[in-house]
Amino acid sequence: MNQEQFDKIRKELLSLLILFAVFVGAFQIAFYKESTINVIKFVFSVFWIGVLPGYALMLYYIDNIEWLERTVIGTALGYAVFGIISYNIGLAGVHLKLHHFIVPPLEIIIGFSVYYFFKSKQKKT
Amino acid sequence: MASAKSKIGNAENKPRQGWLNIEYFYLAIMLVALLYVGPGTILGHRIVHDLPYGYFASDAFGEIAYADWFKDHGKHDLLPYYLKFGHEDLVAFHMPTFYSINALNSVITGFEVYDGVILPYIFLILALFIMYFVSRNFSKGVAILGLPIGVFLFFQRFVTGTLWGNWDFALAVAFLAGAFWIVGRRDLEYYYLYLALFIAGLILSHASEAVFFAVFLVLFSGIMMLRGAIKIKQLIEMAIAGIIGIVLCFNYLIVFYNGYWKGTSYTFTRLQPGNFDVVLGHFSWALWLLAIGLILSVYFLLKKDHYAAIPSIFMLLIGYANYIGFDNRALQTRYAWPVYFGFFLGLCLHLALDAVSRFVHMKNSLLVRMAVGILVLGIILFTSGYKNESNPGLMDPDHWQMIKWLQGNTYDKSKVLFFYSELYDQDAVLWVDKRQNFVIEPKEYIMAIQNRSLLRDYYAEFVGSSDAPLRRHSIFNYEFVVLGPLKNYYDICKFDYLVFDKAAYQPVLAQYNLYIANELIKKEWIKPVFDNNRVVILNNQKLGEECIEPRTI
Repeated sequence: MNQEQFDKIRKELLSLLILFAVFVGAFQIAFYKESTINVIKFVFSVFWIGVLPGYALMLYYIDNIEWLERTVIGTALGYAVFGIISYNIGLAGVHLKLHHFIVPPLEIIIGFSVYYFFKSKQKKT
Repeated sequence: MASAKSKIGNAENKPRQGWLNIEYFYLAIMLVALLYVGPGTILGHRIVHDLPYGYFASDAFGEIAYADWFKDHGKHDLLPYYLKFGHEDLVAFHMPTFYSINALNSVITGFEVYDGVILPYIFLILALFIMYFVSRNFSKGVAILGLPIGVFLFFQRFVTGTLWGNWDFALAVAFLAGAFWIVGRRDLEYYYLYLALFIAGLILSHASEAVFFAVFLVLFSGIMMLRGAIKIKQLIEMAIAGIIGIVLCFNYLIVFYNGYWKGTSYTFTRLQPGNFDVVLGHFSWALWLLAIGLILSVYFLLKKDHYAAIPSIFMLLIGYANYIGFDNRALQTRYAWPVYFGFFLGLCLHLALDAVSRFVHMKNSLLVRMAVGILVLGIILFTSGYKNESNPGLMDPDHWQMIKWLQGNTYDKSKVLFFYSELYDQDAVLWVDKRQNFVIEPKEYIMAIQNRSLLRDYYAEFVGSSDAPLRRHSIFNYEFVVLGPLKNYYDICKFDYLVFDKAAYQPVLAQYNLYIANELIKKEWIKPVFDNNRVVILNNQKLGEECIEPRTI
């Protein structure tokens, strides 16, 4: 991964952090009777299961699609992939209560790995 | 076709970078508005509640009962014995993804599973924003002006589906929107792998949406092929996507086929919309704009060959597939029409503003469109029947306290008999206590009152999921189990716990409840163990002993 690619991803991760703050703000306005800590917990859950894994899985299209579009589509994708993996590893014997330790990190690792090994190396050549 | 651009398509799309992009502010405003008007209002502006809040039908309680079970049990193989007449080996055949997400949301946040009621609203909003990007790939102005139609999702009748518990449907709508988006971006390398993931997601969340998407793919590919607008390579890729999608959830498809498909004996039936179904008239005055947008969409589709209108037109037609045999599965898709119809509204307003701009100079046309978008949202809110109201729905604190008491203070295999209450008409409210429940049948109960009879055997029904009781012997070998007579005359002396409501809309029913309760506690082995404003629970410590003397009262 060259410096330019690294900088681009770093910027996007910062954008995701800002998006997290925007979500917390938006949910806090809509659910103004709720405590901020509960709002943060819920938004974190959405990010952990959907947004972050989805962002990583869509990283392959970093040069084709603007990050917000990738992130929005990726969120649905993140949930879809979560459902697929969760169902199958559950049947294989991994208890559902452990899936948040396994599935989202797995999706994130797969997303970044695919980008690193295929996309960023493609660029070098 | 995916990358085809009409004159207005992508005309004003320019590279966007950084957070000062004004489009982001518009989307943030819309997000806040939709969250506030939708789940915010419906759930009383709280995420965490003391009891299931915003639950208006039995199915919604069924959603949390299953999610709660899978959270405890850990996997989607079997259904809970307390919902299957005591059988511990009956296969879970419902689509699993929403239950998993709901259960895991509860694990991550520490909230109760029932607070997952917020999730279907979030998925509908997510679907709306995905469709925003489908429109945006055609024209940013169209997308911006179309977004306000989404607010109808939270109006009657559109919101009825979610209030009644069509939660996995809401999740599938987001996946369907994602699948529509990726088909529109067939120019992307390896797009079909992403399509495969959305197809598998659809199958595992709501099978009827997967079927509709399959119909979409076949029709779309066929028409494009006839028009010479699609390459053979892309057809093969889409077929590969379908195969991979099926492989990813192969085990579930076998269970689904043997359980849901065979068990419910689904047949294609024509059905007229009922009182609670959506019709186009529920869009109020916006229907006129949608109709104009639809006509323009068809024109642009035929003349300019653009993709963005196709999913919207397709989902409009699917909404009418009830007339060709898709019965309530088609009618259900209408609840999500506001997700798909943004393109119609956006195109209509966009071209109207274009026409105006010929006479009035607009310095920043995108800014004008955003202002109009917000204005349209406001007008819809104030003129189309939006109600800023919220209430818990079926559940009340006293009954919830009773259910939690049963869950926490009785042994797992307890059998509980519930005497008359209006609440139990929606019987999945009782699934949540995780016990084997039976409910008195009101008709026979009223007859007993009319006959002035005090009985030992009352006609009651087992409360549970009676559909497709399926036992799995091997991967392809299944057997349907007979659950036994779910409705029967049951000896009330053989129940561990007896639950009586103290109040009813017809007071005589509650008086009769309490008369029986007072007769029962004359026996020293039957003791009141729980009592609040609405409900009393008796515990029978000598099962089978004569607990009541049948007679005329």
